[in-house]
Amino acid sequence: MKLKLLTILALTSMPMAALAMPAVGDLVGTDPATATAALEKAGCKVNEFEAEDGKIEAKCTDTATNKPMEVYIDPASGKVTDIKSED
Amino acid sequence: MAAPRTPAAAPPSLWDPVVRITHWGIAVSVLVNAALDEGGSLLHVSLGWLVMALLLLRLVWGVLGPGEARFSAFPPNPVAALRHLGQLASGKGVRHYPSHNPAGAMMAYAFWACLALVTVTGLVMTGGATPMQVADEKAAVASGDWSALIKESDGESSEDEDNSLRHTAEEVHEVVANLLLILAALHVAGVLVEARTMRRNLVAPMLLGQRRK
Repeated sequence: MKLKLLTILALTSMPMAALAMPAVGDLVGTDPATATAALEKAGCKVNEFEAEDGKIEAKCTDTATNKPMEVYIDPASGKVTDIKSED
Repeated sequence: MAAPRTPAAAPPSLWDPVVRITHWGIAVSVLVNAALDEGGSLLHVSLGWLVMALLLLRLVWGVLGPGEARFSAFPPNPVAALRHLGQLASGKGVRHYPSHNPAGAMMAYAFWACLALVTVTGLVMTGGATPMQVADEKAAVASGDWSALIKESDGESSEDEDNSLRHTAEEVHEVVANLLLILAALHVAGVLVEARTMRRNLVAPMLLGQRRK
């Protein structure tokens, strides 16, 4: 019973954890509209996209901390390759 | 092996135009890229390519240029460099050299090694993209088209390897860029100490200088 409760708690808290920020390897899409929606769902509100070093750099704001972040996306696979906090 | 010199020899009262242009072009570009612009921006990449071109020009000039610009006039000699620094510190026995003094020579070689490393790692990070390609990519992405960035030769298998190489290049790029700023500070300090001890203006010959007699 206790285990079941824990499992439910763990499962229900997962979306909260996912809201923290996107992670490297996440598939967010290969076009601006899809990636904007995916990143926003993952907890980073997109301000703009830029090309940088052959990757897409999404300048977004971490909705949990309000910090500006840089999320790098592979334009071919649509996966997140790197995440940095903006200096 | 002592740096070649003659008793009456002194550094040029005016360095030749290639030495001066490469010196100041690289100095300004490095400072702008280190402190003012954003890494990966069009200006940053353009200045990186300019630095590479100026560095190559200076290295070719080290073989083909006039006497005082040639590597043979200031061979790398750490022992002589330390001796020169010791003489500067004590104020005794400081000599004039027909080109860079031995400490200045070591600084020049250290600068060139760092500049070569910083440009090569920059090229790895950008995948060798020229400023024109970078401008096209930025314009495409700004207009919402991401397909312009997709390289046809990119295979899924080499993706991780490529990313890891770029990460390493980025780390080296940042460390060497900081090292360049430290070298620049030491270089300026060296020029000030040398100018004071030798009672000689070293900036003017590198800037505009007096007319060659």
